[in-house]
Amino acid sequence: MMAGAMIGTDPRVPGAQPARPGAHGEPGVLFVLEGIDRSGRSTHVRRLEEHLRYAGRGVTRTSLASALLSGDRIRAAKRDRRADPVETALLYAADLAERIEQVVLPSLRAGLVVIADRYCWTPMARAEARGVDAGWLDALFGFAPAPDAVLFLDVDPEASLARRPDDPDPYEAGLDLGLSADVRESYRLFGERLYACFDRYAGPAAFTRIAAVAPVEDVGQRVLRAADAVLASRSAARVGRLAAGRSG
Amino acid sequence: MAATRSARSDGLLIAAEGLDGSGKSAGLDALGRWLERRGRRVHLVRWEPSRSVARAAVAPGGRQALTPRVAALLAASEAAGWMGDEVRRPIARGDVVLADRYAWTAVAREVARGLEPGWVAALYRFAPCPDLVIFHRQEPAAALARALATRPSPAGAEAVSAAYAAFLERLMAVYDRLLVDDDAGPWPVRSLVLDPRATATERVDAIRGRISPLLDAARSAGGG
Repeated sequence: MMAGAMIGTDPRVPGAQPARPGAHGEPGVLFVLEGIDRSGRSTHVRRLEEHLRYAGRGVTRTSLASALLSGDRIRAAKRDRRADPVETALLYAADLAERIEQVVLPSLRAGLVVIADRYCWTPMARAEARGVDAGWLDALFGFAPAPDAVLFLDVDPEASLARRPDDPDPYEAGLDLGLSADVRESYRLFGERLYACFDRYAGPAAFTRIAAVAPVEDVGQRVLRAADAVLASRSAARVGRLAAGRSG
Repeated sequence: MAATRSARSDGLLIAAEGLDGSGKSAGLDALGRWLERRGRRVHLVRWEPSRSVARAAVAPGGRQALTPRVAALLAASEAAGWMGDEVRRPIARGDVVLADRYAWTAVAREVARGLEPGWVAALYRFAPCPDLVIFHRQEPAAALARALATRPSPAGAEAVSAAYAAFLERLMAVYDRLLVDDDAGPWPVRSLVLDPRATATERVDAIRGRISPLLDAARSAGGG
C-alpha cells in the first residue's frame, strides 16, 4: 500500500480553499513558473528575469529544492527509490517554507519581483502521482502565500519527451513506481499522472496556461506579456489606491 | 479515513502521551510485559526529539533558517521516514505497537511553539491512527520540578524555569484540547486519561481494562 493511501480527505483542512492571486498583501510581486520536466521552464525563468531587470525592476529568483536545511536531503531522497513519498513531500514543504521565510517574503516586503522556479504545485503533483492524498497535500502546503500569477508552461509528456534525446531523470520519470522498466516509457506514463494533477490545480490556483509546444521565442513572448500584464494591473491598482488616498 | 485499526490484522497501536516524567515509559514497559505474557508480540517505539532539527540548529546559518515551521516540517519528515518500519509494518504483521509519545505530543509541541493548530493537526494525519491513546496527566508544576531537579547545574535555573513553565502550560492546554475535540488532532481517537493521584495498581488496572477488549476484538477481526 502506498503510504499516502493511509491518509483520508478532510474537507475542513486549511489550505483547501483556492489561492487568491495577489493575496499576499505585500508591495512586491510573486511570479511562479510551473510545468513538467522539459517544458522549457528554466529557459523562460531566465528570460523573464532578464526582461524585468532591463525594465528596471529589482528581481529575486528562487528555485525548488535550494533551501539550506533540506536541499541536500531532497536530492538524496530523489536518488533513493525506496524513499517514502510522504517523507519526501514533507522535505519539499520544509524547503518551500524556508525559502518563503528567508527569500520570498522579505523580497516582497521590499517591493521586489520574485520569480519562483516552481512552487508548491510540482512537489504536490510528484507526491499525488505517487499515491499521496491530495487533500492532505493541500493542507500541508496551505502556508504558502498565493502568488500574483502562476505561469503554467503547458506541454504534454509526449511532446516534452521529444524535446531532448537524453534519458529523463529516474525520479522525474517515476521509475520508483514500477510503471515500466523503460525510463522513457515510465516518464511518459508518470508524466500523464503529473499532467492530470496540474490540470486539476490550474482552476483553483488561477494558473495562466501558456501553450509551450510553440517555438521558444513565441512561448517566451507569451510569458513576458503575461508577466507585464500582471505588473501593469498591480501598478494601476496602486495608482488607484494613491488617488483614493489623496481625495479622501 | 483508512485507519490502521484492528480491522486489517490483529495488530494494534497503543500510544502513551503526556509531559516528560509523567510515567509513560514505566507504564508501557509494564504493559509490554503483560501483553507478552498473554502471547502477544510487542514492538516498542520511542518518538524521540528530531535528529534532523538538532543537526539543523548547529549547521552554519541553520539558526536563522530554523523557524518553527521549518523545524516542524523537518521533524515530521523524519517521523514519516521511520513510520513504515516502526509502526505500519509491525501492525501489519500482527504486533502490538506501543508508542512512547506519538502524534499528540508532536502536535502539542508544535502548537506550543506558536504554529497554527489546524495546520499542525492536518500535518500529522500521515501517522497511523492509534487504537487507544493513554494520556498520562501530570500537572505542569510537577513536570517543571522534575525537569529542574535533573538539571546538572543550577546556573540560570530561574530564567529557564520561567520560560519552561510557560511552555509546559501551553503544552498542557493543547493536550486538554486534544482530549475533548476530535478536530484538534490528526484523527478522532479513543483515549484513556490516567489521574496522577492514582496508585500504580489503579493505573495498571485501568490500562488493562481498556486494552483487553481491544485485544479480543483484534483477534477475532484478524481471524486468530
